[in-house]
Amino acid sequence: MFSQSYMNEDNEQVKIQVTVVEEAFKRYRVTVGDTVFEFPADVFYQAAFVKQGGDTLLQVNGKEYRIVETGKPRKVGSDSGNPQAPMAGKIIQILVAPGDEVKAGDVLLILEAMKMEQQIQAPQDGVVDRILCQENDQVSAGAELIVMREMAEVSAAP
Amino acid sequence: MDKLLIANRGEIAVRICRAAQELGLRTVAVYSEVDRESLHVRMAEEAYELGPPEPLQSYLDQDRLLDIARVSGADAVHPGYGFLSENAGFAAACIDAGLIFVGPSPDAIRRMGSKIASKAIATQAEVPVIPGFSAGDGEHETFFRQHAPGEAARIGYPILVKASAGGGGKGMRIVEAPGDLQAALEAGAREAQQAFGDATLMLEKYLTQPRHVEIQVLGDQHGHLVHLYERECSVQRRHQKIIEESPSPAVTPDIREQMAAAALRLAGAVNYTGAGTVEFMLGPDGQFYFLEMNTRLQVEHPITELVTGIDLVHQQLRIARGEPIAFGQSDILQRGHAIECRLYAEDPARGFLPATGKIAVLREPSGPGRRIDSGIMVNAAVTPYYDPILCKLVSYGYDRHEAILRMQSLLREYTLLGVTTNRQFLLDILASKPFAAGDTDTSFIDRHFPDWQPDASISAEIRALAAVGEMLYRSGHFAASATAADAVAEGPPSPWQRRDGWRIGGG
Repeated sequence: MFSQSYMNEDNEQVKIQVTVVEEAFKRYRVTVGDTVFEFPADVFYQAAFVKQGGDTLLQVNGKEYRIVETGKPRKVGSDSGNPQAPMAGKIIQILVAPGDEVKAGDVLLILEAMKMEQQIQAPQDGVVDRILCQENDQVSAGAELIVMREMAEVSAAP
Repeated sequence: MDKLLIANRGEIAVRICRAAQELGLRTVAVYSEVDRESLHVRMAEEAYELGPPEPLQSYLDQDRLLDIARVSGADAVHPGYGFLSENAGFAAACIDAGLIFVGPSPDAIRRMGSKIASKAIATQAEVPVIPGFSAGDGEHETFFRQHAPGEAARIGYPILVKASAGGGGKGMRIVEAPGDLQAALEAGAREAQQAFGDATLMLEKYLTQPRHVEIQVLGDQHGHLVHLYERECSVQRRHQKIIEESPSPAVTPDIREQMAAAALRLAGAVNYTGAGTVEFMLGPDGQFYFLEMNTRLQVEHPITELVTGIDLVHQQLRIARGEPIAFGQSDILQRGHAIECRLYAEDPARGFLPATGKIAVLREPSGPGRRIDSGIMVNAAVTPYYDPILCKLVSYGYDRHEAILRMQSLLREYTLLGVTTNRQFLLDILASKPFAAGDTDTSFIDRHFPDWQPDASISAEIRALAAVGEMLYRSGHFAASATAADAVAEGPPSPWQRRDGWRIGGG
């Protein structure tokens, strides 16, 4: 017997139980909440499963699924509001300097990966506080590139 | 020709290696630091390290490649596609070093490699060309920059800014309005410099709703020139092809005949030898315009091989060693229908952003009417340094419908986990009505799939399956390798296999 649980959209804990139906190890019986599924032991004949950084990746009937482990901060796309590298690559050009006022959508720097240029834009209006990378730096996906602060902080400063 | 140095990586290096070995040649692979554990390195009899991952210090390092040719005793060099394949200087350096360059003459590469010069040759050969503007020989970048706004206005917006050297959409920008021209010129020049070592740009009229149709040609050193019909490559993202097919659903026998004749006139004008491709834009009115000639093997060459039964890499090698083409034009038939899908490490739901990572699970299915040209293996890393192509999935059928059905099942069965790919996106395109209707032009993806997102809602059944997987994973009860084919691809067992990926069953 193997069991685990997850939180559904209504924030309710749903319990999953897997039972190996003994008859010569032929089937798995899985209850998800109140629903019962039975799978043959070769259910993964056309499917694949792998764990990656806590997430579960599945390919079933030609579709891919990523089940994200809840409660852990995600590396890419965190909401610090500071521009991050959307992919691993090289910084080609930095177009702003600390102290520059920028508007949402302004291009801050240019990243190149797999021979393609990607413009990194300001997520909102603000001021460039610090630049955490240099031209020609190789950066990894999710790396924070620039620290921004809000316009208001500037005008409030003496 | 006895021993072939393959100056490339990935699926095309594997493809060339296979063809060379079939013809009894010994093969030499090259690799950058990050490609040490690659399929192409394992397949070749010998392999040499080039250097750091950056292309300029590895696959574009001509001196190093020529050194390796000398040290390994190779007598021929195949450049593949991309990298140095359309570099006339490299072709000449190979010849100067006493090597056979598998490709056309440096002169043909030079004349066709410059989009500016090739247009002039096309015009002379009575091949229709698109209106455009470029600085001529001896005129500098400043001349181009000064005149670009005026010329762009003369040609009429939208305008395409593109690199004079190379292809593949690198350095290419569509400019809708005069105010955006300057920024496009700067970004385009930078990208062109990086991709091709040449920042020269040109302007071109941007046709709306054109199809991209190209003609494959082969020429030998004895003056024989044949064509192998067309490929349509209209389904593109970021100006890079993702789905190609042959024949084109839009090409009538009449257009085919005219286009093929134009391609042969152009190839003849530069005494073309080897495999080459003449690219055209085909308008909805049936008018076509010369775009460029690619003086190398194309990524999408397999679909031509399937409909004609001719192995283009064999032909390249035979032509390079001086053999005459063993068949005439009337022997070449276009039979059935072939489709290619390029599997890229990228996320179509996030602007086709390239993806990196480690291939944790890989299954490449086989079966009737299926071909996979792959350069990857399980546990290999996908790095940010090179083109994100992982493999090419190719289907063949009696007609277009059958080829589509086969491609759909091939895409469904193809299994790769660990790196984000465009597989589901390709599957959705193949299943769409506009694709089934052959309604493909170069704006196909923008028109029909502008904000594509995968259907990835997780049902209770998927939760249940994941739980079974989790249980087996934790108990260590999983197969390290499911099929004999995987065992070969994986090579010696590594501790990673047991910890990171498993699969039950086999194909």
